[in-house]
Amino acid sequence: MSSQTRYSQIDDNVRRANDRHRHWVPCLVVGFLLAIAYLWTEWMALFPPPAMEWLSQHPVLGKIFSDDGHLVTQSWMHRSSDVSDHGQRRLLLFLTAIGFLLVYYLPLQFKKQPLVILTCLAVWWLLGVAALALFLGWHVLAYLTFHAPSPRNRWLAVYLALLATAAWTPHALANADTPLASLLKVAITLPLSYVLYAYVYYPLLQGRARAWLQPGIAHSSLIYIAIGVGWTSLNEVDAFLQPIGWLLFFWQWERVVMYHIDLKDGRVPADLPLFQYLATFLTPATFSNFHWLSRIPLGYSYLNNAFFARDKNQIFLSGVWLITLSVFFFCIRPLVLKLFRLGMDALDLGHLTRYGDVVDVMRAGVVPEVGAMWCVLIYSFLSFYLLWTAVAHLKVGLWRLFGYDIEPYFQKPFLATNLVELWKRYSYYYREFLVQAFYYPVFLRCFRKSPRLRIFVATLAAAGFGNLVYHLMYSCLYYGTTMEIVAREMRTVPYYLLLGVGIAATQVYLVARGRKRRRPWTGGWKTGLDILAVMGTFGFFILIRPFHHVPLDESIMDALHLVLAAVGIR
Amino acid sequence: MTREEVLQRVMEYFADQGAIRDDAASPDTPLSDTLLIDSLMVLETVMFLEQEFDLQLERSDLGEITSPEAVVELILRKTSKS
Repeated sequence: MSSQTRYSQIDDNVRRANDRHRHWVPCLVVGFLLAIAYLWTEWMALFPPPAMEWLSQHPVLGKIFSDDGHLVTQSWMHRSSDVSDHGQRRLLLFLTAIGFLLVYYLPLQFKKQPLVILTCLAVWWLLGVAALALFLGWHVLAYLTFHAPSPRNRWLAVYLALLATAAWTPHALANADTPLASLLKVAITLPLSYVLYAYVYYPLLQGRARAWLQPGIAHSSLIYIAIGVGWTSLNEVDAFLQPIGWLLFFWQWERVVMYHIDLKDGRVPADLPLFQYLATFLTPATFSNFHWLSRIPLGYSYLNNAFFARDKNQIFLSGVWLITLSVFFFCIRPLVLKLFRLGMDALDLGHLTRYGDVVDVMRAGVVPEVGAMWCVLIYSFLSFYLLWTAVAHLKVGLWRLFGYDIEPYFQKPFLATNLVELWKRYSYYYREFLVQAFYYPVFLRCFRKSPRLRIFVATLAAAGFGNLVYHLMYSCLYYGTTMEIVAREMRTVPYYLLLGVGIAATQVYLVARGRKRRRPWTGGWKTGLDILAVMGTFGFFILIRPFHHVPLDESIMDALHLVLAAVGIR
Repeated sequence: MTREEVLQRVMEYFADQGAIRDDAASPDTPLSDTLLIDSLMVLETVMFLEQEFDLQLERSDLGEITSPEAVVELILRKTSKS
């Protein structure tokens, strides 16, 4: 593990020095991407490898193939139902190959722009022009709010034209109007946008209103959800309108927040051009499972400092390696789960695979043995853990294929000897976001006279409250802005509370130990203690997870009974 | 305290944290390049600085925790203000 917050600046001279061509590297990367396209689409079924039939019919090994006859993968895009999963993946890999080649060979000053254009084309292709217009419209609004370009800026007309286009979307561009009528509406809106910006919004941004307009746009996702939940509750309607173009922006909540934090801390140039702003948010790497892990790789400064931060060939090859790991974990997941289930079948536990199965049995008056409970808990954890690993490696690998030398999301979590370490190693970027957005503000404002309380409360704010807010928000964006969704998510409060208290107490302990802290994995007989510490850490994390997955037809008490039974309390 | 004493104390702190290798680190080595520092360690460093040098740090100061040398500059600037 190396740098985390990446405060160190990388200048263009360093980047140019890192921009050395090795022509075999592009050949290898493009060949690799072609191979992935083969493994992850129907191409594999069309041109099967030797022994494919035997493999696919094997009771265990066959699990690595999907029903369509390619290797299992969970790489897809939400709401792009007009394009098949195969088509999405082909598009992703095609964009990655084109984007990679452009980043590889174009001069330094032109490397990022094609990625933005490719991303826009992909959104257009997959989700339609309305989605693209709304997505860009939100980002233009955010850009105008964050950077407040002068009304005399020669590019302002372009920004406002994008905003005007978004204003008429989806009603005009996506529906009945002719293209000419749509253009006319945009042409009328454009001067109005200029007047509004130059004489209302821009003066506001020069005054005190900036202090609430900027956080307002950074947290527009939360505001949207609050309004949406209020609206659906008051009007007793099923769901609030959620155009995909809005969601594309709101799903980037963490990165918009991180961008705003960077801006406040003076780490973003005030006169940053729109294209450079967009490059923080629009790369083809955001596509795969794009509403998942959108926080990768944090905000502007981290991203900018990671771009061509070392020899580009090393960055690209490391991306290939991470994507290979991703393919491996996508394949190993069903194998591990199948073998685990075979083991459970042998122990006559085949009917218990989900938390809900255990709850049903317990409701019938039978409490399974502690060992059986742990089998279910571990099975459920592994199911998510391996999927998470695969998606995280894929995401980071894609970013690296576009020249961003970002840290791995997964940093050997199996070496974590305490909850603070696990928090970092298991979900590095998410932890960094929670720390920046929730921990820092509390830490720097509250309980300065009481160090332990200060750390405890700040950690709880991040690992407990921030974690809950994040999941609450994403549930609403994914399932609908309704009170039912909020109520459902609030059932997970015990999980975030337990996790938050656990991490906070560990953090206080670690700081109190200070220099007396022993460094783990330093060899000797104490390695046994490290292994025990890893087991205890994962044990706690696995044990509280039923509170995070309380099914709708079950209560928090059911989850509590399950957890208590797992530690032998009946 | 003199600049050298402050620097020595800061280097000792990072060494105690296991964040630097004594033989490899120099005062201007970027923390984010070769040292094991993350956002929470930045805050531990804030607590150390506040307690050891009686400072009050703000969010905008955190970006200056980039190397032992930069930390020393931050301490000297803050103490000269107070």
